[in-house]
Amino acid sequence: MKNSHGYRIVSGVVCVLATVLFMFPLCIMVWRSFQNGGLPNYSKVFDSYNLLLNFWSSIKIVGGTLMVVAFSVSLAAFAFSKLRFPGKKALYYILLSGMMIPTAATIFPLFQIVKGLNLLGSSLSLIFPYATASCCFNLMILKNYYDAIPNEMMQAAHIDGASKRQIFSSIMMPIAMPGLSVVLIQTFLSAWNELQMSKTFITDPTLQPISIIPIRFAQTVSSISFTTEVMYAALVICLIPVVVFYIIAARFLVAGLTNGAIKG
Amino acid sequence: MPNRRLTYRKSDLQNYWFIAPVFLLFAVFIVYPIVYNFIISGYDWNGVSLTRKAVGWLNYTATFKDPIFAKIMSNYWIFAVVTIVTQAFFGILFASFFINKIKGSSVYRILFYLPAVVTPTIIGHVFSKFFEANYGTLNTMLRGLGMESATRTWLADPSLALGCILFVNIWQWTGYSMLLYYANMLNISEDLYEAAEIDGANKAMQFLRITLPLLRSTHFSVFILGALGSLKCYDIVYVLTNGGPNHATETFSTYIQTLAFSTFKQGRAATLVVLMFVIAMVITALQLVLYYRGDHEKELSA
Repeated sequence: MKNSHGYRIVSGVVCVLATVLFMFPLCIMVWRSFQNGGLPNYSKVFDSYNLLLNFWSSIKIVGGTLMVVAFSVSLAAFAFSKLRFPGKKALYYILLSGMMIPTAATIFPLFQIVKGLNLLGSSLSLIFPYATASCCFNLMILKNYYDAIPNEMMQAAHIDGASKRQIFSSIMMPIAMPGLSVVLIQTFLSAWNELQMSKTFITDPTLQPISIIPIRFAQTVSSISFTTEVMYAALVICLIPVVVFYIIAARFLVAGLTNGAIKG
Repeated sequence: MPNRRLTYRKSDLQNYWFIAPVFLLFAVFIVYPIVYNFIISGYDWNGVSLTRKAVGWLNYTATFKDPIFAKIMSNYWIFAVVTIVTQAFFGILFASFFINKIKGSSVYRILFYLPAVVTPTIIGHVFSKFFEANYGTLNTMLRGLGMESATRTWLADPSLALGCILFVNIWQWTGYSMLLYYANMLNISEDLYEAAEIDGANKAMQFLRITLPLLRSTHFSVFILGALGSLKCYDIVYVLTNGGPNHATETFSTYIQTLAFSTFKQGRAATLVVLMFVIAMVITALQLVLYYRGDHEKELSA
């Protein structure tokens, strides 16, 4: 169907305006980071901060979270979609209710556990809480993805003598990969960007993940070597990994979502 | 496969192993903390000392009398309603542009979603410089345009700060609702539109009679994500105002964090958690009732 002339003009204007609105803060950030000194602003960041350690913390935390989520949410989504067991529906809704629970509701008791286990400051203290939050949120997406796979496929394999475990790992999981990739992309982004729990559980500035570090920039800014422009450069450096990740992942996100992944 | 059998085979019980890992995580990291908070809400405790004093419902009566709690509730309603309505409107608008394949759709789609992936602390800093009263970009721009009278202190102004935070929040998350709407619009069969075309329905009619009603489940998703997002909202508020000025932008999350980790009023913090939990459960129940009512196809087939 061809769009009418008027529609094309109106939609074009709206989209250009929206682009300006969505992009201007990011443009200001990049532009300001090159003022008063240009590229050397970026090297000055590393005089004040050893960001590599913080990046490494983020990678450890996010990597661990992704592994826990991939394992536990795949198994559960498959079971809720394709297997029979008593109380399935009730258990599913109970798990889904977990996504309604904000960080603030669990942070103090978890702080007590983490302190009790002497894990304050370790990436382990964040991996499991992050994974839990992601599992509850993403279970529905992956289950809906499994729902779209016909049951006949599983019955055929069953007749051929495959066990449930084999059916899961060699038939169902490979087919559900696009769904799982959406789950993992969302998990990556939320774990990488999380602030409240990470700043409470990890207080050593050298070990903190990269999502907290910008707060410290604001505190050191205005010292002679760390000007506002250097702060903008530091913000850009912190932002680069996640933007690169997003540009690579964007294709999979839309593909995974459109295959009937989000229905509820 | 037969739809429902009342008896389960013994081998069906082995299927519990598949959900065991998620359930273990759920029990330790969600159920335990919630139960813990329910218990602690009956005590006067600083969170550190070994003894705590049972106070019954005193924490609850204190919370309901607390003017900050009233502020949190009104902030929550404003936040939720404005966020949901705005994001749904722009989400549908952009998604329908993209579904009609306007020029540059694929680029716009990536750009509009970009804010949703940006770390909130980073964007918080950029916006706090933007809204800053003396040298902030916004006020500088207004002065440049000769509109000195339109300059404000923005984040430091109790009547404007919440609006600024709302703006940043909507700026960040509109791309998400756009993506949900877009993905679900792609799932609507082209045949429906062709049939409508033959019946002489114009584009506006098709949109109102086909697209909007078939997006029912997406409306619910956007509603619930907005309602819960407003409840959870922490990082942007923390970076921009940390609940200030004078608690004007206080949310559940910021106030709980302050009570628990700065002023060490653990009982009061737990009380707020319980109240927040109740609100979250009401939203969930509401959603499930509305979504599944008279729509048995969507029920889980056992």
